[in-house]
Formats: sequence, C-alpha cells, structure tokens
Amino acid sequence: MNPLLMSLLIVVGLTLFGRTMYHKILLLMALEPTDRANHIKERIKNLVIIAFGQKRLVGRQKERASGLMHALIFWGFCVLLIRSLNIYGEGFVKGCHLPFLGDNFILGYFYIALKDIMEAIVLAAVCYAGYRRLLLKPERLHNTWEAYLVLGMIGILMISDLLYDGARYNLIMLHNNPEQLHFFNNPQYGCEFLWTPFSVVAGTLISWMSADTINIIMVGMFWLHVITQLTFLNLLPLGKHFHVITALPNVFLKSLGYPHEKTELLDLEDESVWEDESLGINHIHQLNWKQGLDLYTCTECGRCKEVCPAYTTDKPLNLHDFNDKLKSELSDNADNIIKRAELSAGIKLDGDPEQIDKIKAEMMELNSEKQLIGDVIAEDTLWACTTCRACEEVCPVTIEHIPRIMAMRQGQTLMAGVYPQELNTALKGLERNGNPWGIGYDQRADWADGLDVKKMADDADVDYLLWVGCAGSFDDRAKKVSVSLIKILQKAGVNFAILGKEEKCTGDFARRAGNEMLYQMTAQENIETLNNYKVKKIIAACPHCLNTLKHEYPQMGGNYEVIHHTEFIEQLIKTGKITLNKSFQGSLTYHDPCYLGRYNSVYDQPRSILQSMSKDGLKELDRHGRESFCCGAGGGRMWMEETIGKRINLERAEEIVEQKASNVAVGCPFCLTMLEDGMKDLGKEEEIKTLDIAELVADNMA
Amino acid sequence: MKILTTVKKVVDVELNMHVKDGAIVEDGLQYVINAWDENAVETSVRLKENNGAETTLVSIGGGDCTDMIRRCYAMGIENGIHIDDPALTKADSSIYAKVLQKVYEKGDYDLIITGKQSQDTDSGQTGIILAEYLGLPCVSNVIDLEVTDDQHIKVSRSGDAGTEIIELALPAVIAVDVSINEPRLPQMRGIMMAKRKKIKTMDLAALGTSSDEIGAAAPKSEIAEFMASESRKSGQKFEGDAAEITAQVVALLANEAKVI
Repeated sequence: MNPLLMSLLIVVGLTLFGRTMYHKILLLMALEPTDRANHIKERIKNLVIIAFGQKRLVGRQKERASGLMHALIFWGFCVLLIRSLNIYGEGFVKGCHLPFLGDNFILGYFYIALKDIMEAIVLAAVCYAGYRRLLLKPERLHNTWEAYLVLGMIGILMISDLLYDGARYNLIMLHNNPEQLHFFNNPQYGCEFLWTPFSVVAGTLISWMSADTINIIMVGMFWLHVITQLTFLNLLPLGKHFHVITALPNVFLKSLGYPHEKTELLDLEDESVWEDESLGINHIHQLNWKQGLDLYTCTECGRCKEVCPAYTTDKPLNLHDFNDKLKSELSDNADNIIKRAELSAGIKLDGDPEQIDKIKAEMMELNSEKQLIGDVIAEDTLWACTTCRACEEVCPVTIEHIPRIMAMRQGQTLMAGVYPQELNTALKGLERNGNPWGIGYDQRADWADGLDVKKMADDADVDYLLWVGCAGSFDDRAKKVSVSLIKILQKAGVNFAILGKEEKCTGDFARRAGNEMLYQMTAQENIETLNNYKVKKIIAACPHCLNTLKHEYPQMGGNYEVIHHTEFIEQLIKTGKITLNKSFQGSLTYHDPCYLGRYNSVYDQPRSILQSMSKDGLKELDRHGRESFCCGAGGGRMWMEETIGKRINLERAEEIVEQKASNVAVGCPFCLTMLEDGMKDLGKEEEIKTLDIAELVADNMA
Repeated sequence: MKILTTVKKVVDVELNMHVKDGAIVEDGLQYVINAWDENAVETSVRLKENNGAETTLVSIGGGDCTDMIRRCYAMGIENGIHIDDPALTKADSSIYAKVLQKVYEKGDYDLIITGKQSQDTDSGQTGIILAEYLGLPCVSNVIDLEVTDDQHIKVSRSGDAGTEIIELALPAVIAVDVSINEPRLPQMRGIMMAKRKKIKTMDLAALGTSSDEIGAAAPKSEIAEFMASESRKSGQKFEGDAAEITAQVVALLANEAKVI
C-alpha cells in the first residue's frame, strides 16, 4: 500500500507501546519474588481451558449471555490476529499473505471465510455489549467512558476491515480493476469473495459509489484499520483493558495445587524482619510480582463483588474497587518501587553493616507516603472478608484476592498491632487453652465420656485419627455432631482414636486473622503430637481443620492423608461398611461450606450421601456448589462482631427459607452455628432444621 | 511518674482442679498471669502511653515467671524485676507485701498498681497490707483512673451504694478491678523484641533482706488443706400436666426436703 507510511506507523506504534510495557514490566520485576516457573504442562492446560476456552465466561449459567459475548469477541480477536499480520504485510506488498494461507492452499480460503464470519460476529457482540451497558445496565458493571471507547474502537476495527474488503470486491467485480487487489495471491483472481459473505454485503452497501470513491474508501479503511489497531494497542496498558494483554500470562501463571497462593510460612525468628517491618504487606512495594500482574489484569468486570458475601450484605468491601485502589497506589509509587528494588539489590553485595543501615534508611525514604491500610484500603474493608473464595472462583482471569488480603492482615497484626480487638478473647483462649472458646484444655474430650472412644495416648495403633476440632469438642451443638460421628465410625467398625486433651486448635482462625505467630506456635505443637504418634491418616470433622491439616501443616513438616468426615462416610457407604435407609422424609437441601467446597473441591460426596437417604431427593439452593454463599464465619469472622450491614448468616438463612426447604444439611460446625442462628433470628428454627450430615447419617443408618 | 506494677502467676482457673490428700494435683495444671494483674499492667501501660510514665513490674515466684514477664514487656512494660527465692514458697499476703515493700524502697516510685485480688487465693490483701507497711494512701476496687497533675491522681472505686471518686496524693497504692479496662493482647512485634530484653532477677539477699526479716521463716497464715468442692447434682425433671407436677413437687418438698 505504502511501505514508507506503514513503516512509520509500525515504528511509532510499537516504540510507544514498547516503552509503556517496559515500565510496566520493570515495575513487576521490582516487586517481591514468587516462583511460578513450574508444572508447565498443567499451566498450558489452564491456559487452554480457562483462557482460550473462556471457561469461566461461558461456563456460568447465570452469565451465559455476556460470557458468550465476551468469548466471541475474544475468539474473534484470536482469528483476526493472523489477518492483522497479513494487513501489515499488505502495507508493503500487495496480496501479501502468511505461508499456507494463499496460492494453491485451500487453507487460505477457509481462513478468510472464518475471518469474515468472525468479524461479523464480533461486530454483533460489540453491539450487544453497547446495548447491555447502555440499556440493561447490570449492577456489577462499572460504566466508564473507557469501556465505550474500547467498544467503539473494536467496532471501527471490524467495520473498517469489512469495508476494506467490500471495497476491494467492488473494484474487482464491478469495476474490473486490473490491479492486484486480492485477499491473497491466488490462481483465480477474485474467486476468494465466494468465501466472504459479509465483506460482499459491506461491498454491496457502497456499490452505488463511483470507482474513484470506492478506491478512496478502500485506501482510507485500510489506514483507519491500521491506525486504530495501533492506537488500541497503545491504549490497552493504560486502563482496565490491559487484560487483553495480561490475561493470558495471568492465567498461565496462576497458582497450582491449591486454589490460590498459600500463605507464606514467615520466618518469625529472624530478627531483621521485625526491625525492617517486612512481614506481611503493609506497603504497596511488598506485593509480589504475580499480585502486581493480578492488578494489571483486573478488568473491573465486578463478578467478584457480585458473589461476595461481604459486598452483598453492605460491608465496605468492594473487590473491584479494592483492586483499583491498589493499582493506583502501585502506579503512583512505580518509580520509587523500582528505585527501592535497585537499592535492595545493592545490599546483598555490600557486607558493611553501616553501609547496609544507610541503604535501608534510603529505602525507607522511598516508602509510599500513604498507609496502605488506613489511607488506601480502609480497615473495615480489610477485615470484612470471610476468605470464602467465591470471588476467586468466578474471576475469569484467575485473580487471587484472598492471599493478598491475608498478607495485609499479617502486616496489620504482626507489625502494626492493629486488628479487631474483639478477636482478643478467642486469641487468648487459643494461646492458653488451645481453643478459641478459652475453655480449659483438660475438658476437651469430656463430650466423649461414656462413648468408649479410644485416645491416642492409650492406644496409638489405629487406622485413623479422628480430628474432632474445637467446635466439636466444646460447642454444645457441635458436640452432638461429634457423638453422631462416633456412632457411625463404631457401627462401621473403624479402628480409630482421638487425641483428646492433646488436640489443639489447628490455628486456622489465628492465621486468617493475620496472627502468624500464634498459628505457628499452635501448629508446631500439634505437628509434634501427631508425628510422635506417627499419625498417617486423619478424618477431620471440620472443613477448616481439614484445610489447615491438609494444606498448611506440610509447610511445617506435618504430612498426613487428611479426609473430611463426609468423604469418609461416603467411602463407608460405597464399601458397604454402613448402609443407609432411604428413610429421610421432608425436603432437604445442602449448604456447601466454603472450606470444603471451594477450598477442597468436595462437592459430590455430601450430595451423594444425602441423596441415598432422602425419600424426596435433594433440592439445590440457588447459590450452591462452586458458587455457594458463605455463612459468614470464615476468615476469623466467627470471632468478630458483624456490625456493618446485614448479617451474612441472615442473608443465607433467608435464601434457604425462600427455597422452602425444611431441612438444611451442612458439613461444618461454623456453618451449623451460623445457619441455626440465622433461622432463630427469622423465627424459623422449628420449621427448618439445620443438621450436620453426620447427624443425618447416624439417624438413617440401617 | 514512676509506676511499680505487681504481677502474680496463678493457676489457670479454666482448668478443672483435682485434690488428692489435701493438696492440689499439679499434673496437667498450667499457670497464667492473674487476671486482675493483667488489668494492672494495662493500666500502667496506658499511663505510659498517655502520660509518659515509666513502668516497672515486679513478680514474686519461681523460675517460670520469666515467660509471663516477657509477655508483659510485649504489652508495653519497660522494666521487670523477678524475685525468686526458695524461702518464699509458702509466703502469704503479708510476706508478699513485705517483699514488695523492699522493692518499693529500692526504687523511687510514685504509684503502685496491683490487681485487687488473685484468682488462686482470692484474698485481696497484698496491696492493702503493702500500703499499710509503707504508710501510703490506698484505694482498692478501682474502676477508673485519671492523672490530675504530677502530684495527684483521681480514681473511681466501685462500692455497693455507687461509685466513689477519690483524689489521692502521690505516692499511693491502688488495687484495680477487672472492669477498669480491657487488657490488650501483646503485640507480635513486642513479643519478638521482648525476647532480648533483660529481666532483673533477685533473691532476698540481693534485695537487702532475709527470710527472717520478712517473716518468711514463720508465715502468719498457712494453707492447711485443699478440699474439692462438691459438684452440683443434676436437676430433676417433672413431666405431666400442671396438677400432677404440683403434687410431685409438694410431695418432694414435704418428704425429702422437709421444708413444708
């Protein structure tokens, strides 16, 4: 077309883009390290399913329409990327095409057909997107001018390309233009238009114009397309549409093996970390590079807040806003963060203590002037999270919100000593008696009196250790669940024992409240006890205990095969160790505990148990499975007041009432308490029974 | 203002205690800071934070007191004195008060803050006896405190008829109630930093006194024996209609309880 102009545009466009990206990448590299260069096969699989397959966009029934809309635009972009390369080539050589996409290869025809259809589909999807934003106005969407600008640009890209081809078609077919105007070099001049219905339609729309005008349109659309595309590319990194570039790497680099990045095991014995105040996240430069990439990638789609129990009950936690504020703080401090990292790199080389202190002082000067918690993120916002992971489960680009929140809580609790003071009673109880209730540790196994339950101290030669948990040991309601569980295990003839007063809280709530020190102390003691008894297999009666024992204790040398009691009961049924009567009457529903479902992917076993005993089958709640709604007790919230907004457990209880279920099964002592309290608040505790699966099984065993 | 705070390590009363042969079974027991003393520590730390006071704590007891003292450091106490002497194993309140008198005399304190009682013996005397020995004004059951000037404090004391507000000239002794404040949990950072802080450990000789002088050789009161309290019997449940239940209850009151 015009090699000189094309060269100029490419050089300017790519130089500007390169410059922006260089700074963005430099900033990421200045953040804290984290290792993601492993398990490449699994990463590629995630990339294919979640990113290219758009799993979380098209996979959610509630969001099918907008999900498909996005997926089609995305897939369109993938197809059109090849087309773009051809277009840039055409700037230099007429009829330029990539190998195999022209000459005698049939692939070229298939490709242009696909490209033609995709352009029309993308255009339709853009129209739908505009209609959605302007007229449907879904609540989760944050309407900005940027969104319309980007939609507009995508529209221009599609229209300009269709018109460019349409004009070509007209010149070849109507005006017998002798110049080489094909899509690509092919033996039969012009026949490729048989494959491009939408370009032909575009051509027909301007067929009434004169050859000269059409020629101007053709040339004009070509350059409009190229300029729009390069402008688009340069706009992307500046706003929320940066995800167009970062989403693929973000999905590729997501955490593996556990739903999100595990809480780091902090070295609390290292004195320097206390002096440098480097534990947890109290400053924006303490984010790791992947957390930075998460911020780049957040598209502000609002799916996270829509499913967030805190946000939906009017707490001040709005995750998209949370990300946005961190992103601003990150970019406001970009230069200082980079300088800081350079200084920090210098420390390792220089051994002189005086010099090190000097550098550290200089680094301190470069800290953000704003308090991360307080000025950027409000305290109430940080502590509102129940760590339920609903947000992460729906995020199409796999942003990990919770580890960041937990690290910020660590920063607050460990370094600043600022955290909700109502946690003190539970923390002190844990410190002294190994349970948040603060009841004497010697009474831990009182519930088992007269049940003929073995203690490890008396006989450690057992197949399973039953980890009862604090609730099952001290909470009157949950103690009944423990008794039911014993009944089941004894009936099935399982050789098991409990630790009794040697068991302590796993430390889950302390860790989630940022109190890493108390967590490590209590975990250490538990691991010593468990390893002393050479425990291999644990049945956990609480999903929070399950999660900590299974995923967090290995960090400290506690490696066990841990299974939740519902999983174990299902095995007992399958292997015929216990038989259930189909004797349960009344409508029955199941509330998925977050730490059983979203954290440990146990969705089917509880349902299978319930279905095999219920005459009327199992009725699902609106929000169930991966998108189940938290009871409000996770993340240490069990031990905090809930004074802002509506109570989360009430919201869930109302949902259950609306579904007209008369029995709700749970698999977690916290959910049990929260839902039962919710029912009491609604005056429905007589009509709607909240029961643990173990209780239902014990009552319906043959 | 220099503050001396007294802290005692006591048995954790959340635990069930068992008695055998007139003595408490030590096995399985654990020891914690006395709840009222924790409030005394919190009171002192708040005076440090708000009024710039200098805080020192003293604890009398065996070697296992150091953890507790470090925990108080982490709460914000600056100096710690640990009095450890085998002669004090069977000390009563008056002997403790004598020892504390010696500690007081070695420092130049303006205010002594004690917990109003300890959860093990519940005698509630140490602070008061100490004030008597020192000839200082003393208010117990303090639920609020305010510094009026360098020489005076104003305290509220909860009484049966209401709250008394008393102004005290310093130096003075106050014994605080648990309702005076909500003790903080030690700061994590403080705990780590406290590991390196020194505790001044002294025996009676180092304190410039002797077992005889303080009367430890012959305590005026001694615990003779522990007895387990009888556990409450479970209640009796009556079933039936009102008339039947009434008849059963009346019969029991007449025949078993013999009150009617």
